[in-house]
Amino acid sequence: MKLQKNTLLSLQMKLSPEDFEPATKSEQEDLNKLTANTSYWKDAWRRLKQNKIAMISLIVIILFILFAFVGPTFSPYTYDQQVRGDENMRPCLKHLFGTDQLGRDLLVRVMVGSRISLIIGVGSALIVLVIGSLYGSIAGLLGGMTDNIMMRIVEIIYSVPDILVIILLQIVIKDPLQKAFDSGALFGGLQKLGPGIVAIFIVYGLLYWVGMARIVRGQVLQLKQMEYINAATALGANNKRLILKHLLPNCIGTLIITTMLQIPSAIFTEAFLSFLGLGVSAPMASLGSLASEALNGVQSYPYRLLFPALAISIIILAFNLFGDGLRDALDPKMKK
Amino acid sequence: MGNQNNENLIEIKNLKKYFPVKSGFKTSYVKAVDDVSLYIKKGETLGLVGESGCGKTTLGRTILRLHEPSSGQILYNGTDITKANMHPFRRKMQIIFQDPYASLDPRMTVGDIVGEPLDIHKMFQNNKDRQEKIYSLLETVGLNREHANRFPHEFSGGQRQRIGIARALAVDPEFIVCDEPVSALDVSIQAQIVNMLEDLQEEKGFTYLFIAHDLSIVKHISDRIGVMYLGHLVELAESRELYKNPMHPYTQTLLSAIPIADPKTSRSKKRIILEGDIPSPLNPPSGCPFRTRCPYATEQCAKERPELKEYEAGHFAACHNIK
Repeated sequence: MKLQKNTLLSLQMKLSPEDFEPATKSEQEDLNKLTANTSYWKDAWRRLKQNKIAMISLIVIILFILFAFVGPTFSPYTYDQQVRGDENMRPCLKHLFGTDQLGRDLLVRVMVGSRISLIIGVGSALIVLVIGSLYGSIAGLLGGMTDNIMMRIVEIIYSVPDILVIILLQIVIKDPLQKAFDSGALFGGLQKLGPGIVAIFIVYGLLYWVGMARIVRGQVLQLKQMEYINAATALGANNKRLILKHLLPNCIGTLIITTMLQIPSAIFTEAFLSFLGLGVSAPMASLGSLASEALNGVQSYPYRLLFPALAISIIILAFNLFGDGLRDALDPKMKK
Repeated sequence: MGNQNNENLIEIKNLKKYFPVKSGFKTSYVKAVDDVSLYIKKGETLGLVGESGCGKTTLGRTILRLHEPSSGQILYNGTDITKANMHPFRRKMQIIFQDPYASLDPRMTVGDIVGEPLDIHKMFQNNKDRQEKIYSLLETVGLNREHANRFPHEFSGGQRQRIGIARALAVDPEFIVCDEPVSALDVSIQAQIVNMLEDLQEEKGFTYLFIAHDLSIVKHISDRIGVMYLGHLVELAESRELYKNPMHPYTQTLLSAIPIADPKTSRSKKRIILEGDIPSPLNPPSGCPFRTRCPYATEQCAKERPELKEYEAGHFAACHNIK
């Protein structure tokens, strides 16, 4: 309630006896609701909504997910269907993005390729999240010698050139993986995706969690000084409980942000590897392999490179901008 | 004040806690608790006073093994717990923290915070009994059962301290370290919390180690009082005896600093003002820790550290100059 002043410059308020009546039951309840409503998530959502760039990125991401996962069902073609007589077509009404030299519709291939890229992005980010957060929180909580050894291991992994390791690993694991795939139902749902993608997940699980581990360790070192960690120890909580119930939930903001920013980097790495010919196996498409295939005829058919490249750029830009927005919303202290 | 008998619940022998401080290759030690011996009888309240940084909090936490003791012995009910697996003892010994804002996990609801000890010690098999226990704990400390679904940040300091107390009570402990439980609270709330602690003690027979730097509250709640200075216990006596007849010069100074509500007596009272600051615990003075600020310091004080001696029945002090 805003109080009226007598005149504009006066310090006296216009008051009436009604202003001094005790609050009614409903007014009291309103007040209670007001205090209850300011939770961490609602606060973050409010800040996120004010950030226009982040909201646009969020909409772009949602549209892209629809494009990648719902899109192919509306297409008359499938990603590996070769339409005789439609080879090497330019973008037209029949094939919006044109076709390749085998007569495959590029639109549906870009959709499926985006799907693969998104799956790899999210899957790798989750692998990184699980390994990195557990490793980092264990190192941070135990401290001392354990921490020392664990962080030196992280630094060794950090300092190895990753492209070299990826290429070597791909060569080493490709054969055994292929055999495992051929032999049967070892991978369940992953069976469809092909050994290349599993290899990428393995590479991510081996190499890319170190950044997350460092960030989480830093947070845990800070959080473990908090009194409520002492309180939980005094109650008899073991380390597992401290990590899962107290430490990780309290760095949830950082976890979400780092995971979110991991997605575009994983998508980019996958595109890059597919471009080098190490990613998904044909006829499955990913954005990187589409771009790589298009390179053969780039002078005659530049649109074949344009569409997958555009898709990669849009996904990565949207995820990065949304990740930045999330960071500002979840952790206002980190904002520069 | 609780029922007293002569059984010692807690006994500490020559307890030391040194924190290493590394600077370059040299490691020096902060002697936070240095050679403290005391006992706490079942059902009594032992007050512990001293200025900031004198090691009271460290002592309380070392007793609970939240810090590992550097040397010395802690006996609980006659059992040596210095090296023991603490898990079973966590149900017997609890702590109430100073800062009600930092001691509750901001991501847990009040129900989960109070219920955590129940889960850790697997005290309830079914969810309904567990929930009932949480409600009854909240009601014990003067909160409503509706509060169980809220988060700590929705509460005031006093209410948060009550939540912290409910959490400590959840395991039905025998011994509670109250680590300055009221110093972060408003004066009007302090009385409520202190009275509640006293009522709980009467009802359940708790033994308290009550750490504070507010002398009037300690006087009110304690049966016996220990005075700490620079990691050492310098005086230990029955509450009334200590206030009537302080032996150690440091205790005399502390007591002279208590404000008196009546201006006439206040004016006539002589306040002892110490010179200088408390020495660094990294580099404590030789001999008696208090000698650098003590008006009665002699040469002997610089050479030998005074032992804690019993001068009258139950009245211990560590000073060379007591006759």
